[in-house]
Amino acid sequence: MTRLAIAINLDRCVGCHTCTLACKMQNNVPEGLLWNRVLTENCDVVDGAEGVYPAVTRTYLPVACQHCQNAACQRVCPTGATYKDEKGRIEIDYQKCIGCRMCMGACPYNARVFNWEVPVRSTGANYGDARVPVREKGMVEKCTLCKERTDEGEEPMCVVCCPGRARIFGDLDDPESEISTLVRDNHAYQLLETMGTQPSVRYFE
Amino acid sequence: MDRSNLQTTLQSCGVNCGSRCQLRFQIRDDQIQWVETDNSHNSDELPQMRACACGRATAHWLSCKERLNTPLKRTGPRGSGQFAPISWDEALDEMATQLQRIVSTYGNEAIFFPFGTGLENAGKSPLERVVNLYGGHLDYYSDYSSCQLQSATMALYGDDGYSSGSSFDQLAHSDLLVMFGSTPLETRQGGASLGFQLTRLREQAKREGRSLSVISIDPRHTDALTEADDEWIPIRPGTDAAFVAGTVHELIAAGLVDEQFLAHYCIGFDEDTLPASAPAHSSYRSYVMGEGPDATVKTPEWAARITGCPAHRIRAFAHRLGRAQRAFITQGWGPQRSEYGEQTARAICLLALATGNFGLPGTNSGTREPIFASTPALPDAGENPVTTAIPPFLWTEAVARGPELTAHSHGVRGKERLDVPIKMIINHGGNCITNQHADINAVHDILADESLCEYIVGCDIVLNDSARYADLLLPDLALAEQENLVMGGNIDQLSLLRHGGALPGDLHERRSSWNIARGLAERLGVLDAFEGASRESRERLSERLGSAEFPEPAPSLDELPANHECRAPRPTLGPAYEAFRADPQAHPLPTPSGKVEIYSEQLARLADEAILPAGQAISPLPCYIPALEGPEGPGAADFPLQFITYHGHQSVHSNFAQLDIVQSVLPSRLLVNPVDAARFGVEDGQPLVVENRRGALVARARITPRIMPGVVALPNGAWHDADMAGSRLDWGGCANTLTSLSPSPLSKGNAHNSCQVRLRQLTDEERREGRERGYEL
Repeated sequence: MTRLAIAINLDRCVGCHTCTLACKMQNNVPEGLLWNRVLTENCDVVDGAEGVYPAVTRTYLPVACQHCQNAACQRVCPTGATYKDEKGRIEIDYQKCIGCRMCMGACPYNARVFNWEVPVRSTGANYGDARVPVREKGMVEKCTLCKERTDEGEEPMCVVCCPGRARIFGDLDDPESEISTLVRDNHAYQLLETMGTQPSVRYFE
Repeated sequence: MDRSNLQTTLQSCGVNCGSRCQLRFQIRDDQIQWVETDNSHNSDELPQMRACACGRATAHWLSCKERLNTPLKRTGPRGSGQFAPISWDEALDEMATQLQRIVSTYGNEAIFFPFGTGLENAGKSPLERVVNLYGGHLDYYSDYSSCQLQSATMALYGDDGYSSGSSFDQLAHSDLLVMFGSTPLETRQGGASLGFQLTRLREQAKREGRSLSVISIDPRHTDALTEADDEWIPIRPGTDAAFVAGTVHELIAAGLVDEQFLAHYCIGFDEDTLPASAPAHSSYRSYVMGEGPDATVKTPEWAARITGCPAHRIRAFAHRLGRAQRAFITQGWGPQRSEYGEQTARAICLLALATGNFGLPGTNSGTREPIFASTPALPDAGENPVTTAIPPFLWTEAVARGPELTAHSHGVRGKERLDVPIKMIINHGGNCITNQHADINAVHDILADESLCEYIVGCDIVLNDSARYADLLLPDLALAEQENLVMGGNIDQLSLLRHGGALPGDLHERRSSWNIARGLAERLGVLDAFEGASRESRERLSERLGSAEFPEPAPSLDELPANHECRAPRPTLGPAYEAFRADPQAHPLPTPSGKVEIYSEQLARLADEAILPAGQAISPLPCYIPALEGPEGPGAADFPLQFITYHGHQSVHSNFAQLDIVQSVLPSRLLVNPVDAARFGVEDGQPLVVENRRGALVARARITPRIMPGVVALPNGAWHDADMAGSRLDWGGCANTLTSLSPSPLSKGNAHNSCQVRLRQLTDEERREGRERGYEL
């Protein structure tokens, strides 16, 4: 089997948001929506920190779809629009999406966004990769693990664009892959492990 | 998947952050489809030149709504932004006529090219080349980046500090990194730049089981603090020299000063190494021990009152520094960009000297990391027949009061006194007329008076706030729109020559600045001389490519087709002043004494001779001098907060700062400590007025413990947006609405990193105005 995944080295993340922007541009994500966000651990804003001044620490936490193996979003989707594909990615068949947003409620990572209005893009044009399908009003969207790129053997845009090289892409089902080795050696963890969602995205420091 | 007919155009991000990251535009049917960045092989020696969030927004920038597409002539009052399109012939005729008129009426010294780095990737302005062939122009020396640090290291070490510091490579031999106002993970965020190099070196230390502690001394908790045990020591802006004096007091008390180093390599730390001309009790030790003229002992308690850093933390820092095997002490360019930036910069260097962390593996001189030479692709501007020059920050003074500017009062060079004020400004690829200069409201008043500066030409790719002040506005082509040759950035950790291909798309009426200048040269009758130089640059680049920097098998310039590049690893550099440390007799410093001048006779002389505004001082020692607008300054009762700016992830200077797509992920926020938020009744996300006597801006608050109490911080570069005929309230949140035009005493440099402000809520009337201007309130 194949289980495509991303591991993120939090020590290397400096909160520059290049991944967020690279994702937005690659995937033609409209104004007001983001597939990938850089949060700050235990804070609700980017410039936040943990602790009391001046003894503060700060860890940036990039979050997008976790591509769970036991995906809550998939379980609640009434039309089968959300599915797990043969490479272990959670994807959306936009034609089947009826915009009920059950998936958004079920996802514990708040990874999904909804086109409440006709999508607007700041340049007035579809600036994303021409291979990426354009979503319409009433559709849910989220990180596809850059399906169009990874299908052709390329790495996801957030991975190749990270100036800090904090992201590693690969196959978790291949024990010899770089990502599997890093996950093992660094005791990488998953977000909200106790939810039982079994995410494919891993974090380490 | 449709990837047919897709072509890649290789291009460079060419703004002045120090990097030249790679952009790979994916083109089909002459349209940019999407943009990728460097995907070549990545190694420690040849790191990928991955673009940051800003660089990745280049395609948005090229097509932004502020883009200039046609020559424009001003139709409304100056600064109103009212223009009408004109033809290129009309524009160039007009510019030539005005140039001729100004030269014949006032002489060439009445023409000025302000500082700007929009052309940094390409070289000097071709327009400047034309003017140089037509008799020249008033020049400037130094820059807006680090002029006070340059003066400081010139006094201490005899060089300008740009290339004399240690590179981060030396961290492989250090156990302590001390950063004053430095955050390479934000200011140097390109993929092959210093931010990632620092990350890599810290990981290397960890892998080798070597301790490399990191201490950041900064009012702001920066992104350079990446690990839980990194230490943040917040101090008030402009008080670094007091922090250093308190630290040195403790180092002396604990016997942790490197007496032998100070005695052999430096003058003026002790009484017995003072030059003969110095009065008694004028050494740094006397200053610290209270034996100097101010009779104040610089204990950590004394420093604590000034810096806001508790005395026990200053002591702990002194002991940690004093006991480090090899400490690497560095500073960013923020601390020196203040009222007494020269004192600050020298004081930070003093810590390296007092502890002997100097000239040895793992150490630095206290200045910033060295920059590498970058050969520009355009021919240079040629020789300027006018040798008179001013500090670049003083151009507004030279417009308003030209002949009052003298060598002793304003640092005029080449002449005792300016003969004429600036009467014509040609601003090419710069935003230092208003946005990135200081005190925008005062500048507006100077420029609005058309009897002072009679003619302003702007040449840029976007209608930024400075461009609004042009009488004639010429639309330039962006770097990425032209076939170009680009060398690696001056802080990229590899050597590079990239042959970028021209991007397709509608160029409207834009012209390359070379072509614009060519048209002007033709009208001024200097075309032959202008074009004669076009081979120069190619020869320079060829030479560089054939040098040892690019080892075999580097191609020749002719063999490097468009959309290709050539890379080579950077050589590893030794520690700063290694040769001097090894043998000070054989390798003296280029200072008058040949040694490090902690007490500077030159500055002592200047302290007597320079004509300074009341209250300003120059000291031969790197001692603490309270700033007029510092936390102890007289205005603090009315304006109790220190306001600082920093280089955020969201812009490079003012480039990209106006793009919605960047602001949507990295909004500019005013950082406010929870203590101040409670004190001034500020809520998170709330729009606030930040004001002082010079002006007022609107910014949204972010309440965070990442800024010290008493200080608020705003990322620099936001685009000024105010009704200059009305309230002048700056809705764009440009920091320089608040900063001061007063230059620093020594280098006459821009001190606009900090000033005093207060916060208040918007009035109902202001809210109405904001809504009318399209702001959500």
